[in-house]
Amino acid sequence: MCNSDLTAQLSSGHPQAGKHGLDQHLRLVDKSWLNSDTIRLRFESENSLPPSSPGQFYNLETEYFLRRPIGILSQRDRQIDFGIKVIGRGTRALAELELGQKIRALGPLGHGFEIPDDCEHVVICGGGTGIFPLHYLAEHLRDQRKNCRISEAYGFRTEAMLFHAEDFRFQKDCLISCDDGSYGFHGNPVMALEAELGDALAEADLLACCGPWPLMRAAYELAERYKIPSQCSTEARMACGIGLCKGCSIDVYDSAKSGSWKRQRCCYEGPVFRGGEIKWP
Amino acid sequence: MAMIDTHVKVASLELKNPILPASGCFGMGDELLKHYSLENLGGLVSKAISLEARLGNPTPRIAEAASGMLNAVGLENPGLDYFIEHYIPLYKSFKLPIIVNVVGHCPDDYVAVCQRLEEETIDALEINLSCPNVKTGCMSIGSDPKQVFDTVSQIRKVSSKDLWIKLSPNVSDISEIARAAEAAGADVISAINTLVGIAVDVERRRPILANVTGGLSGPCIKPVALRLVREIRRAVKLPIVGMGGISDADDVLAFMMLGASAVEVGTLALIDPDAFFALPAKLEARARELGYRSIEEVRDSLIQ
Repeated sequence: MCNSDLTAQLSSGHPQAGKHGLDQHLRLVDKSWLNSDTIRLRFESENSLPPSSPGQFYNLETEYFLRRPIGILSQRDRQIDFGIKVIGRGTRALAELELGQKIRALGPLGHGFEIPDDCEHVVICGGGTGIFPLHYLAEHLRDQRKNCRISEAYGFRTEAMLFHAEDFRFQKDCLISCDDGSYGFHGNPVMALEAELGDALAEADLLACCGPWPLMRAAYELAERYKIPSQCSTEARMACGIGLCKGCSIDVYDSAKSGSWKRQRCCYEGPVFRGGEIKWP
Repeated sequence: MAMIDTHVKVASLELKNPILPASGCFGMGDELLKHYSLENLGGLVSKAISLEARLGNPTPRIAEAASGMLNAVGLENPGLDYFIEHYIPLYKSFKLPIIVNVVGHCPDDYVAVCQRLEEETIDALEINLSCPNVKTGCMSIGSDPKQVFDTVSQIRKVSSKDLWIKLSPNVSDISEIARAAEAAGADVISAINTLVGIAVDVERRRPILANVTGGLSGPCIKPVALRLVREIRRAVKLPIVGMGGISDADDVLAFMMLGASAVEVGTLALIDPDAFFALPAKLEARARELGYRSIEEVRDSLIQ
């Protein structure tokens, strides 16, 4: 937490009233598989949900001890969607929830993408489940920033892994790439963006990225080559998701001391960091 | 029915209730202010603070276990200067007793931190002789009665604050360690820290934690913690702050029945912060329901 936040809390005497805790009570109302291992879960909250920003996440309760941090795919009124790839027993338990089942969910958590007010062109680059928070970002921009141009590029390993659902669609002008060339652009979404946009990249105001570390690094390097700012939504193994355990540290350069680095919590200061802040693994 | 008195005494401190956050499971204390009122707690226990800032261990630092979790955070903290400048003023504004958890690589480190904190308006020092995730200080001191005696004696010389000595369960005889701390002038025994464990990713054939070993916490360690609190109670006259896997009011009562004056609650705050902050009120209601006239009365009330 930065000093100004602390000072603000001190001077405001930390508010006492209107504290309702962090746990939301969600009921599963719809589930649809997007490919063989990735599912979209749609929940409804008993009460109105706090507003969230793209890049933020919820820590979802399962039958196992720790909750599972999952990025928000979309949120409307009391309805919230999550895209989940089954990678272990916790995500499997979430995928196997039955319609009507209730879970508790801590959130919205973390700091999402920060889109400057004067942004006119945002470039979005994602792979795998990293596509979900970016899909939310693009939706949010289309809704709130009518004049902002959005260039989206999403990558998959192969055609069979593309996301398919009745009501989950990419925009027509969205660049889809497959690593093996089986569909769309042959390569990764970073390559697709450079091939499609070329020098227009230099005119973009922001590159927003989420996906596997090597993809995010390539996206950051692309942004650096074209001298545009970048923001990357990171991931780490978490326990609490609320900044308490310091389990999910990400190495970032210390802006106060040149060349030195420090650790920040993926769940609390992150998950979105500026590309140039990250000490790339 | 009227509410019962929830105040408890721990050495020279009076707490309005016996529920404290456990060091290392409550961030720096400022993370949840928007969502919860810290004023409901009995006091505040800081993250472990060292002389210099520490980066902690590499990630992954977290692994799941059955009814618990392993952590190998390794005492990441902003260092003493930053802590004094930025956090002590914040903690004072909560009007709660402040207990600062102290770590060092060697006895001199502990002494230096405690000496600096002597001038600060804090209420007690919890001396961490038990973190299992670092190579120096902590558990390597805390598993040897002679080193415990020497370290606590040296700190005692420079500090007039209540000294809470936080002990490790990873020893063959915790009574001996507790007695060494008592003989050196400790005021309180905090017990227990985490149990050392390993989690394996069999598909990758690798340990899950980058540090290989981590500290096991959560409900799975509670029976061990209760047994050790009982052993300590029988070994020393000092008040005990009990901890290890507390997840509800009955768990608090169990620790107190076995002799704890107060408790720290850690892992529960990580997985269910709503339940953690509800605990003081739940404890009062449950003790009243069981016929206690005060929370103090629960201590040592086990029928054996």
